[in-house]
Amino acid sequence: MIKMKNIYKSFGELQVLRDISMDFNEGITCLMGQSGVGKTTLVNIVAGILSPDSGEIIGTEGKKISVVFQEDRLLEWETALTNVLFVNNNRERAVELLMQAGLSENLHKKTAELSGGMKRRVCLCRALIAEHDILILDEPFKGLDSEIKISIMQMVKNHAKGITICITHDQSESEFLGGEIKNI
Amino acid sequence: MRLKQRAVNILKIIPVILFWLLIWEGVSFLIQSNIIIVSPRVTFARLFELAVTANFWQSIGTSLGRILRGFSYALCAGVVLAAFSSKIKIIERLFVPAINVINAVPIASFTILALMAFNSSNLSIFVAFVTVLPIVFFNTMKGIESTDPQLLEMANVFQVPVHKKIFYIYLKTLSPFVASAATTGIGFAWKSGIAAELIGLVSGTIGFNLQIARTSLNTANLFAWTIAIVLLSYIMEHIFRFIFNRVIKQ
Repeated sequence: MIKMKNIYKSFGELQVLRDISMDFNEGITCLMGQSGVGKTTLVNIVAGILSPDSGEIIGTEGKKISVVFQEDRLLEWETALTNVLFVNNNRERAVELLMQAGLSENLHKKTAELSGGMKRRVCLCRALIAEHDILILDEPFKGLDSEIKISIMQMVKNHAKGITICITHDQSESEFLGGEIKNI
Repeated sequence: MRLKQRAVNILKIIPVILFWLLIWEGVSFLIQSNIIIVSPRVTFARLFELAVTANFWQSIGTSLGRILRGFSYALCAGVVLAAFSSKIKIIERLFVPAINVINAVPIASFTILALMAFNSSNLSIFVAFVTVLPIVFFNTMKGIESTDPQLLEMANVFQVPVHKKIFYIYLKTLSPFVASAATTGIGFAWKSGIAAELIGLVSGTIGFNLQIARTSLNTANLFAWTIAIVLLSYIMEHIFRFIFNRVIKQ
């Protein structure tokens, strides 16, 4: 379980998080809220990418964290497969995940040549293959066609381990994923 | 298509070369002094005469070998120093001013200093090294600074090992910067190395042959050697550009 107590975070003059306290339990938690309320900042604090100005986080020490970032952050000059293998050398599993994500014909294509939705799926495969206790998904289904979205959401449900925090704006996504829904 | 374009480019440059050869021929005809200027015909005839001698190729081999050694040392040292400087502040503080000073010191000063310190046979290695080091160092630093911080952050979150970060992120970002430094640097290394051989009278080298031609007022030899230097410089730059372009593409 992750416990966040009285978290404050500002960027210069702009206060993004103000006295936020929240718990994340085992399983999937969907984090919802309007744009700009600080959802990404909050999960970046959980991931250790950002430090809070004040407040306390318990339960992340020594834990392995995996992330689907809001931006793709892919090695654009490398293939989809290499991008997944970048975080875990298990080739068999990498191929299996990419195939499940409907990318079997694009394994050896450079990610720069892939569409936005395909890139998003590569990001998800990369996050799922990485050993993790905490999985953070920042709008992971952004840019996916409605048809493929269902199978990708199912993939997340099947493969996510430990504590999963998923940022979404879409009520239907949170309903499909199940678990807790928290608003910020 | 690419070959066709190359052929067109070559055809375009031929009239330009012919124009300047004509000017050269005209000037040598007007001056009528084989000590001040020799005609292109005499120069190329002498170049062919030299090209069949063992001394010509031995001198080229010796100069080329030493200058390439200095260049390679500078390439390695520049990349490694820049990598450490970008990660460890104290190294940056120590080395950036030192390399700026190296960059500002004239080659003649380095040559004289080196002549007092080392065996003259190592002179061109040293001079090529100090000429190329700042170019590689600052270009590599620029490359490291331009590495995408979001990719590095991603690699840190996933606890990607250092060797993978170097291979997949840094090498890809740095290779165009290092390639550009290397292709610029090879030309500088070549010119400065030969100048050092000339000043240091390093026997059995291109610089030494230039000095002999000068002291014996053999302008035809001087021009022929100069043409050889220019051709070799051109060939080397193109070979390096070709190699580095291949590396970048991969």
